[in-house]
Amino acid sequence: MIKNSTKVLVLCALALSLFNCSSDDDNDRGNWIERSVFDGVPRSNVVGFVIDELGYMGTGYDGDDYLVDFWQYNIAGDYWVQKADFPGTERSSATGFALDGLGYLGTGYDGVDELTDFWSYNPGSNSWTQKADFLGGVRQAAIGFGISGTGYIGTGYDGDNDRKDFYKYDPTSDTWSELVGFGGEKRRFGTTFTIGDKVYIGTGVSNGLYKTDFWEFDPSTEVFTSKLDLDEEDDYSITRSNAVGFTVDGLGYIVSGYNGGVLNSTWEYDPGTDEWEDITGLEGYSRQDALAFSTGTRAFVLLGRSGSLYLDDNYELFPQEDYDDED
Amino acid sequence: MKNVLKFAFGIGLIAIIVVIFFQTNESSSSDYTTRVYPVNSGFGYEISIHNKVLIKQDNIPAIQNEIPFCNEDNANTIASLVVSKLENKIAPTISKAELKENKIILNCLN
Repeated sequence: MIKNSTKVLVLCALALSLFNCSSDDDNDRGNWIERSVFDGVPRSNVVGFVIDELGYMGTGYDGDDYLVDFWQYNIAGDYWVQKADFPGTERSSATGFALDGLGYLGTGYDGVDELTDFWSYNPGSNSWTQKADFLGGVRQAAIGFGISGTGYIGTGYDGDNDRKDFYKYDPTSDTWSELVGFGGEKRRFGTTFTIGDKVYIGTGVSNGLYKTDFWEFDPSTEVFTSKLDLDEEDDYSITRSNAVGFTVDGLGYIVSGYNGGVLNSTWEYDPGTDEWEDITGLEGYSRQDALAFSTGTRAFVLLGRSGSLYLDDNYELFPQEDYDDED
Repeated sequence: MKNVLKFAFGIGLIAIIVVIFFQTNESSSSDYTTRVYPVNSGFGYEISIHNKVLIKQDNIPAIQNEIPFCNEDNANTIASLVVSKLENKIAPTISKAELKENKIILNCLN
């Protein structure tokens, strides 16, 4: 009798410890905290950039209309300011980047046509100025970045074909020139992030195939170097399109996107080892066509869509903190 | 015993009424509050939800350049419009057409 009750006790203890284990299993690295959003301002395929610790975002598509409104997100204060409307055509899937204190926004899709116009935004005067058209012609879903005094736009979809060409923009002379040497495949809805003085390019899709190649671009030499493929390891599931890319404290991140369905997974890239690690996925809805703001030390993933559900939320990633399901 | 039951019942009823009163009181008032303030020889507005700032406009939205509202009335008008959009779960974006419809003065700095 005593033996039996002891057995039961031991079993209970075992069962309890098992349950404890499974509920404690969520101590993955990476935590997400919800930040300020407007209820009912869902939109996807917006363009954004960060200048002086302030996030800027605008244009996009809300499921009914293509948009021109443009907002500043005050990262320190966690509030929003409506800025000057983008003066070009309403559009989604444009390309944008920050460069030397100015924002640049161009190309995209207005619901009928792909676009080629290109504009700069001056946050000091809250004003837009039209610049020289993108040299690569009409384009949407391209990749853009600004580094070392030069802007770059490449890849994307021109209305007929996916592309792999790259062009660089000189803001001093307001001129574009072709940049040769990208050895990657043509694609649309790829992504990029910048770590230090190097730019990383990958993901995207073309003809239903998710791209596995991954590239490092050195703007000082204008050389693209092939890095390990995004399916190099068996447990990698990084390949996707319509994702966001950003940098926090010297590591790169690719979050959300689409690959057979919407995703919330978060992959962290270490440029020192050329390796990827799966950390806590974006809390909230899995999504595609979101936006990321990164100051280099803080990063936010916001907006986007999940099927026909357009999203209006905003999450900050703390990649080195443990996952906490109660915040 | 009966009296004790009646007493407990009474207390319970009062508690329920108090809870209902406070809940309806809460939901009937707006979640959003507005503050209009002087800024750069004009006026701006701030919209908060549950005492946390959500939107802060030192300048008139939608238009180019940094131009504050010329008077408190103008700032109040647009702030109220933004709040009504937020309450109706509409994008709180102000368009240039809405500035015109509400006769917002855009050039008092000149």
